[in-house]
Amino acid sequence: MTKAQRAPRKWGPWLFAATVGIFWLLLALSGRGYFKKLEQADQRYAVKAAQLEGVTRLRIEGDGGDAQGYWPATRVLLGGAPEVELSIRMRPADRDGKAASGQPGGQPPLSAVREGDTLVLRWATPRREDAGPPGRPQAWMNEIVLPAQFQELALSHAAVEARTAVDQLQVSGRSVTVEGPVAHLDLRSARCAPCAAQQATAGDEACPPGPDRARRSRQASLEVTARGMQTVRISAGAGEVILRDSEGLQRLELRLAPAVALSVDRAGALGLGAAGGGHGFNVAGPGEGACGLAAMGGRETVPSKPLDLVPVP
Amino acid sequence: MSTGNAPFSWHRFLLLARAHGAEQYRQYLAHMLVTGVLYCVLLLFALGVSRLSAFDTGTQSGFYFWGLYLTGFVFAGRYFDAMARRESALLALMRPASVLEKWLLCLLVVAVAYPLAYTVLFLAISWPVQQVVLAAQAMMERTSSFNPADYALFVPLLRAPKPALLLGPLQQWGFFIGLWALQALAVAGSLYFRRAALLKTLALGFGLAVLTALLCAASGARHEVIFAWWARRAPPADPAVHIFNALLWVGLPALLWWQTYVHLREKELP
Repeated sequence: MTKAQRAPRKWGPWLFAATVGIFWLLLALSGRGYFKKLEQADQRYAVKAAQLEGVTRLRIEGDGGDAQGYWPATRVLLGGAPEVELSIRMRPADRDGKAASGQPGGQPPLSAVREGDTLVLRWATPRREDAGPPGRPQAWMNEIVLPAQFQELALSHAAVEARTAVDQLQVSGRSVTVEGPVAHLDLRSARCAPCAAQQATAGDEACPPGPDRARRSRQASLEVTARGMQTVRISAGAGEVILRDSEGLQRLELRLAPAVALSVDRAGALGLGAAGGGHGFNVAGPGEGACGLAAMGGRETVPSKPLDLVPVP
Repeated sequence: MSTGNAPFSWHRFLLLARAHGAEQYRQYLAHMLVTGVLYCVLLLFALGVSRLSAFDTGTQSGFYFWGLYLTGFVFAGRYFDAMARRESALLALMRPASVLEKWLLCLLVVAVAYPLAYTVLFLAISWPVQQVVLAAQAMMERTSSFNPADYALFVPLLRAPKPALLLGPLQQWGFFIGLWALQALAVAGSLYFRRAALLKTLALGFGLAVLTALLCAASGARHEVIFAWWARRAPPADPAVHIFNALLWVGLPALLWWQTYVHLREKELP
């Protein structure tokens, strides 16, 4: 067969290979360091250790309550750091111009004050639903690292993880998970009773008015991964309680309202009663000490001392 | 078979379109009928298991784009079906029109007319279903959180009453460009592979998708760059990002459609 008789070369497959090659090259280029500036970076701040002497409690005020839709959980890392480190994530600007940058002048969107032995982190602006599109907060605390000296935490939506051994820890919140080597854990729901059963008033953040408050009350949850824990006490008046990895647990005390949904990893956990006998399962109600946020908020007034939030590069 | 010297003639193009329509309209009607029946069955199932709640605007948009991608791919893959069959291939190839005219008609039918026809069919089925769902929800859920605005009819490229929870018109344009690229792949596959072209194209596309996912993971591809034109946030002013997006979202689909032209030209009788 002469050269002239040969079938014409097919360019289609080569063009397709080139197209796929360019596609892959573009995807790979998007991972280059040049575009790193487009990634959504967190704003990081620190409260220096010198200002935290004697501070053992943390309270976050102004976080999204159940009146709002989706609220991202704050990852709380306890231990392993000498100072408090905050990582705040801002929602990027919308195309319609609704920017979500911090306060004017680059100020952090929250303030830190000391009230006696309590570190109070307070959002600078009221965090209402009308501050942005429904269900989408403008800014939220993505992560907070605490020194091991903190023994009481009052926050809204959080995933608490003890990185070092902790003897005592009390956590109060609406939707909270706790894991790590905490010897004695006291976990309290900030929801005192099912909203559906309450006479909620307008503007009540804990129990929003409206037809769907019963649905939202079910979203309140307390979850404990009890591996490495000795005693666990859980108080809740609404929502659900979940207990996992309870094999090594020596004592479990549950103070729950009848409407609370309960899930345990094994039936034997319910027999871990007080002083090794009977059971510590109380369905009469959350009892004294529940409704943690309210309890902490109700302490006697102490003078506030502003603390410095130092930007961390 | 190309006729005449001019690569494009309106007269020839209109004759080609008329002949194509006369030959294929039954097949196209059957395709739309099957699509409509499948959508109705899907709605019966989804609304049945969800007690008439799975028809909010966001779910409708999901039905719309999933259906468009699936049926649009099949429609595109079958456009040059006649060329794949021995008995009709010669007739299709000898049609008195240039390659450019055949390619343009394919582009017009597959990428423009089909999405339009599909949209009309989708709305024709969705609108009465939406009315039924609204009436039923109003009767069943008088005391709960039913909000009629959540069940507004999804109309593509129109701003929804609750835009924050939905794809905006801009993001929808991104989906349409993705559809056009996928359709170009289906047409090219149907022209390149001789037997079981649609299946082979699907297998090729799946293989490439897996490799692409691996490449993205290995190279740390950034969605902030790849989807900069379609993100809710305003795109950065950096020209490199716009050049990147122009290449990805305009250049590559254009290359894929050009490839279908090349395949068609190579298939033509000399």
